[in-house]
Amino acid sequence: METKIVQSLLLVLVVLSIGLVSWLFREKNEEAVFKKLKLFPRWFKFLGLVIVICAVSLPWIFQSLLVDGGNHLGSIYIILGLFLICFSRDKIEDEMSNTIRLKSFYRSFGAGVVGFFFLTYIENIVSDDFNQLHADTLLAVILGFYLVSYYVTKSKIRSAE
Amino acid sequence: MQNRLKIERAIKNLTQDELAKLIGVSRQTINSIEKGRYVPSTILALKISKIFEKSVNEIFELEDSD
Repeated sequence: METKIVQSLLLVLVVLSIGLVSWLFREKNEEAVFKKLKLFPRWFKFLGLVIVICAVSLPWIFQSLLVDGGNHLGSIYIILGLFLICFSRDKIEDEMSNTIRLKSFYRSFGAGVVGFFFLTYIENIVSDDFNQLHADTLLAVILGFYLVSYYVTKSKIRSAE
Repeated sequence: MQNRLKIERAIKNLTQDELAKLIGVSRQTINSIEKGRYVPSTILALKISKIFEKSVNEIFELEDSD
């Protein structure tokens, strides 16, 4: 029964992610790459925040959502929440904020590669077995670094006025 | 790239916020352009020139380092 619930929730994630990404990338013509970034509406940011909060807390309330005694399902749903926060519009979205977004994606991808090597190294110092970094940790590092980079750059611009 | 945005804005008696609303960008973007930190796209430069009824070359000017 518990496995069925977990499997259903994972299937929901697969369908949702396909739908969301298809909506983002639906323009098929080659010139779309030169246009402004397509982003989710602003309220998706709040939806993402709610998903993150629920993913952290709900499995501890409804214990049937725990897998092997850990909140593994929650850590996967956190990625969905972060994804929605990262890919939704700000109040004013213009070409400069688009440039900051692209720079932040560029930086966060680089940070993800370094984070992958670094955290795998730490994991292998702490543990006796050889362990590679889990995909959810890596994605959380990339999305988290993107958010930090984007908002720090924007606040620096604001404070430099 | 140098620009005369601040001067043109003063001539037209427009605040950064008013100009930003007229061309559909944030006030921070106008501020960054004025300070030379951000180089606008051709579309944005043309929108600015339309507001000030001047050619793009009269508002934006290339520097030797460009």
